[in-house]
Amino acid sequence: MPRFSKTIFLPFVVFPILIATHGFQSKNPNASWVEHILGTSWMHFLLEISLTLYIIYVSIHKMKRNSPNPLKESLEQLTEKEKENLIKEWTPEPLVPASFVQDIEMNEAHRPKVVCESKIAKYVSCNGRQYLNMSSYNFLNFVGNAQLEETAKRTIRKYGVGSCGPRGFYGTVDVHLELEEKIAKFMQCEEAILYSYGTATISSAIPAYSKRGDLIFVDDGVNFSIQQGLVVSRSNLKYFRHNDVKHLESLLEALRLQDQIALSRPRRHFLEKDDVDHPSKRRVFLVVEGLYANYGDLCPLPQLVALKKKYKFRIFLDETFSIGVIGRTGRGVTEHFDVARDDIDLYTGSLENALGSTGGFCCGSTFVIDHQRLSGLGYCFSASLPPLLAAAASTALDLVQERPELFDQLRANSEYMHKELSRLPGLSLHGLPGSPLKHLRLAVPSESRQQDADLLNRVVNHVYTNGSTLFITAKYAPAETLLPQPSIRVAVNAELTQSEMTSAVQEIASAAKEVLL
Amino acid sequence: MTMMDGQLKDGLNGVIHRPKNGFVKHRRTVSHNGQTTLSNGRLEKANGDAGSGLDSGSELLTPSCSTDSLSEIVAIDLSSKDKQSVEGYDTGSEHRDECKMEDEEFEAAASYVDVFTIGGYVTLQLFGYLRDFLRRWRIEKSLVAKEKGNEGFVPLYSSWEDFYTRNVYIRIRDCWNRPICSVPGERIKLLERSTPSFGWAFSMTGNTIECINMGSYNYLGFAECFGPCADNSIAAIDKYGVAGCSAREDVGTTAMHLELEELVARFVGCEAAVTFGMGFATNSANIPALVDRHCAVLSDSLNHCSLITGVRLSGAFVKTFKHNDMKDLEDKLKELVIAGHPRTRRPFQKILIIVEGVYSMEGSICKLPEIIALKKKYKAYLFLDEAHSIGALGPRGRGVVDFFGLNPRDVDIMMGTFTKSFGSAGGYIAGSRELITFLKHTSGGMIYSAAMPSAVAQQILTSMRIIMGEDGTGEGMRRIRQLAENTRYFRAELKKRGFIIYGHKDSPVVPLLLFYPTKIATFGRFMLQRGIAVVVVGFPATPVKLGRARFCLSAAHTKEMLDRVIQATDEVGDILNIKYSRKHGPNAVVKSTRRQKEGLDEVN
Ligand SMILES: Cc1ncc(COP(=O)(O)O)c(C=O)c1O
Repeated sequence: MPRFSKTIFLPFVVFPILIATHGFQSKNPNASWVEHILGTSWMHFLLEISLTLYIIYVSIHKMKRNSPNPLKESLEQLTEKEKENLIKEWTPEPLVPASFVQDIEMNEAHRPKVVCESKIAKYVSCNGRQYLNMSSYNFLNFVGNAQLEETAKRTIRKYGVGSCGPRGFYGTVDVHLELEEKIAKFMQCEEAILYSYGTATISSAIPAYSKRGDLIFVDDGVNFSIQQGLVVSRSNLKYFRHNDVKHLESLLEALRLQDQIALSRPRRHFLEKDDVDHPSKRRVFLVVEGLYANYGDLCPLPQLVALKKKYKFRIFLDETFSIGVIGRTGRGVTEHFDVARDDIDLYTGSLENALGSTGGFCCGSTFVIDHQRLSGLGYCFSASLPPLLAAAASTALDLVQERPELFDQLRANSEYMHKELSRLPGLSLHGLPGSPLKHLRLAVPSESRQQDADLLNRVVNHVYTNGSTLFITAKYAPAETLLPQPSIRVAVNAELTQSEMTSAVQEIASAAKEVLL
Repeated sequence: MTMMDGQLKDGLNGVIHRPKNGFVKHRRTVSHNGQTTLSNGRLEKANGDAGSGLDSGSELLTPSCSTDSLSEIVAIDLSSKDKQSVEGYDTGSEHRDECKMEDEEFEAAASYVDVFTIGGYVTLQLFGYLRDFLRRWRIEKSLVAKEKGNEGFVPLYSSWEDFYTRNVYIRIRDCWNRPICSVPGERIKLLERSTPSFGWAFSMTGNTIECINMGSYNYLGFAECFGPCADNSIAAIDKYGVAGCSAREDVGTTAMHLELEELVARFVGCEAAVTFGMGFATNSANIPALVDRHCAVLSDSLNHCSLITGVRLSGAFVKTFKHNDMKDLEDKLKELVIAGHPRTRRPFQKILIIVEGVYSMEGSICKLPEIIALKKKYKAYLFLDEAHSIGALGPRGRGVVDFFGLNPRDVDIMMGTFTKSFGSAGGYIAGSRELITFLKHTSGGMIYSAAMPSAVAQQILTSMRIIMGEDGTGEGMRRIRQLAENTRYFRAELKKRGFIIYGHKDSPVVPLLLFYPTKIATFGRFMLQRGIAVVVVGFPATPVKLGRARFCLSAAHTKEMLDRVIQATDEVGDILNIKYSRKHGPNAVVKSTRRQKEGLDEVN
C-alpha cells in the first residue's frame, strides 16, 4: 500500500485533480488572502489539506523507517522459506555445558562431600563418624542451644512453620516486629528491617538506594551477595584494591577533580542538570564488609569514615560475619574501632552465622531504612521469615547480651588458633588474629589455580578420612568478579576447649606435612 | 457534543448511546434508554446504562480472549506427538477435559471508569503538590523523616521518588503490613493498630481482631500449629537443631535435605531436584547460572520480581512478551532466532522462555501446551515458575503440568516455592539430573547461602507426603478437591453478583477489580470491619487503571466462611458501587432492562 500511494496515487490522482480544481481560485486575482481562502473551491481546499497531511505522514513514516533498526529491515526482506531455514539451522547450546559435570567431578574429586546426620554443632556426625566441626559459622556455639530450640518449638505451636505471605500481606507476625525492635536496640540504631534470607539482604539493599547513574566505590574483595547487589543496581562501579585506603583516596581525588570541571562548566542547556550522573545529582556510595568473608580481615573503618567526611559519600557496611563476633560485646566493627554509629549510613547483618538462626537484617536511621519497606526487592516480594526462626534469633540476641564473656572466649580462641595455625608447614595463614574466620592458603602457590585447589582439597580430605576434625575448602561460584586464591576456611567456635583446638591443629598439620611436603 | 445527542453509533460491541450531557457521573443517574441491538456476532445487547459509558470503543472482551484464536492456531501446529501428550491427559479424569483456556476471562470495565480512575490519581497528585507546598513553607508540619548528618551530600532520594509514598501511600497505609498474632490459617488474628497521625506512625491498641483469612497463600491449608506437620517439625528441631550456620556446599547438607530433594523430584516428576532456603533467591541465584550475556531470555510481561532480578543478574538479552499472548511469544521467538543478538549480531547460544504457572496478581494460568509446542519448534528452553500453582492446581496437586496433563520432562527447568501450598519456606528447582548437578556446583544459593533450616524442610516433607497420599490417608486428595471446589464456587458466586473477576476459573487466586485508588483503601477497610482480611493492591504493583483486591482461597475454608465472605463482599460492593461487570450479574448487558431496573431498585 505505501508503494502504491507513492508511485501511483500522488502523480496520477492527486496532482491532476489539484490542477483541475486550481482554476476556480484564479478567477479573482486581486482578492486579499482571506477572500482568497474563502473563494477557493472547497474541493481544492480539502485536497490541499489532505496533501499536506499526506506529506507529513510520509516524512514521519520515512523518519521512522530510517532511524531505528536497519537490521530489522534486512530481516523483513527474508522470505518465509529463508526464515524457516534459519530457524532450522539454529542449534542452541545444551542447557548445561556438555562436559561440565565430568569436569567438576574431577576437579572436586578430593573435596569431602559432607552429609551430616546430626545437628551441625560443635561436633557433627557424618559418614558414620563423629567430627569436631571447624567449618560452619557457628561462632558462638548457638547450634544445639537448648534455649533457642525451646523457643523455636514453642513458636511452631503458636504460629505454625511458614508465614504464608510477604510482610505486606498478612505476613508480618508480632515476633518480626519484636525482633526488629530488638535488633535496632542492640545495634543502637533507630530502625531495623528483617529479611528472610541472609544473602538476599545486601543484594536487595544496595539497589534500593543506588540507581543507574549513581556511583559506587567497592573493595574488590567483597562477598558474592554484595557483587550481586551491585549488578542489580546498574550503577557505575569503581573497585579499589582490597583494604587499600590509599588507592581509594586516589580514586576519590580523581573523581573530585573531574567533578570540579563538570560543575564549573556552564550548562549548555537546561536539560543537562537532569542527567542522572551529573555530579549534582549523582549519589556516591562506598560498600565495604566489616569482616571480609574471603580474607578474614577487618575493613579500616576509621580511615574510611574520615574519607567519607572529606569526599561526601555514604557508607554501606556489610556486617554479615562481624555482628555477634567482633567488638567487645559483639556489636561489630563500629564497636571494635570505636566509630560513632551514625557515621555509617547502613548496616547489614545476618542471623545465619553467629546467631544460629536464618535470615538477615539492615539497620540504620529511620530515614534510610524505611525506604526499603517499599523498595527492598527481597523484602517486598518474598514471604517473611518463618516466625520460629525470628523467635530463635530473638532469643539468641538475648543470650548474646546476657553472656558477654562469650566474646572474650571467642577472641581468646581465635588468637590461640591464629598462633598455632600460622606455624603449619606449606601453608600461610590469612586473617586477623582476633577474628574467628581464617583462611589457610598455599605458602607457595603454583601457576595453576586448579592444581592449588586440588592440593588443599587433598589436605582437607586427608583429615576427613584419617582424623576426626571437619575442615573444608572455601568454594566460589564461577560468576565471582574476582576469584580469591583457593583456601581452607577455618571457623573458630567460642566454646572450643584447649585440647580440642590442639588436636585439630595437630591433625591438619600432619595432613599438610603428608600432602604438601 | 450536542450533535451526537441521541445518535446511535456503531461501536465494537454493538450500539452505544451517548448520554445527553456527555458525562456519566454516576451509574444510577443514567436513564435507561433501553435500546437493544445485536452486536458483532456475540448476541450481546447494549443498553443505555452506565455500561455503555462515554466512548464507543469500550471493549467487553479482553486482549487475552482475542488471542485465544491465535493460540489455537499454534495448537494446530503441534506435532502429532505433542498432540498425543495433550490428549493422553484427557483420558485421565473427568475434571480434565473441562480445563480450557476459554475459561479465562479479563473483562474490561466501561471506559468512563478508566477516565475517572486516572482522574482520581490526578487529584491525588494535585493534592500531593499542595501538601508538599504547605510542608515546604512550614504551614503544615512535615512528618517526613529527615536525614541527620551528611550535610552537603547529594540527597539520598530524589524528591519524586517518594512523592507517591509521602502523599498517597501514607494515607492508606493501614491496609498493608497488618501485623498478625496467630497462625495464618483459615482464620487469622490481627493486632489492632491506631494511627493518630493518619498513617505516619502506628501504635498497637492491645486488642486483637479475629478475621476470616483471604489474604495468605495457604492454598492447601497446611499453615497449622497442630497436627502431623507441626509435630514432625518440632521433632526435626530435636534431631537437627534450629539451623546449620553453613552453606549446602560447605557442610550444611544434612540427610534430610537429600531426602527432601528426592521427594520433590518424585512429586514434580523430574529426575532430580535441589532446594534453597528462599523462593526469591531460588530465582535470583539460579537464572544467572543458566544464562549469560550470550543468551536471550523471553519473559512474560507480568513475571514476578524475583525472575526479573535473576534475569538482570544474568546479563542476558531480555525481551518481554505480552502476558500469556502466544502470538507475541512466537513472533519474538522467531525474531530472536533469526536475528541473533542485536549488538554482536551472533546467534544466541540459548534462548530461555520464562513463565509462571499461575500469575499471582491476575489469577491467570499460563498456556503451557502452546508454550511447550513453541519451545520445541524453536528449540528454546523453558523455565516454569510454579510458585502459586504447585500443590494448588491439577487433579493431583502437582501444578500446571498436571493441570494440563503434560509430561514434566517437556519443561526444562521446573521451579517452585514452598511458601504457599506447603505452608513452609524456600524454593526448589527440578529437572534433569545433569541440570541439578550443574546448579549444585554453580548456583550462589548452594555455595554461599545458608542451608534450609530443619523445621522448614520437615514441614515440606510432611505436607508433601500428605499431598501424595504417602501418609496412608486420603487427606491430601481431600484438600486438593476441597480447594478446587472452593475455587469454582467462590469465583462463580462473585461473578454472579456482578463483580469483575480476573483469571481462570480454576485459579485459586481471585482478583476482584476495584479500579479507583480510593476504593482500594475503602474496600480493604470495610472488609476488615466485616471481619475479613483481604489483600488490596494498586499502582505501582498493578497497572495504574487496574487497582484490585485479591482473595486467596484455601482448602481450609469452609462453605460457611466463603458464604460470609461473599455476603460481605456483596454488601461492600453495593456500598462502593464496584459491580462493574457487564457480562455477569445485575448489570449484565444480556439481561432485560426490567430485571436491571429491579436490581437497581433493590440497591436504592
Ligand atoms: C512467581 C513467584 N516466584 C517467586 C516468589 C518468591 O517466593 P518466596 O516468597 O518463597 O521468596 C513468589 C512469591 O511471591 C512468586 O509469586
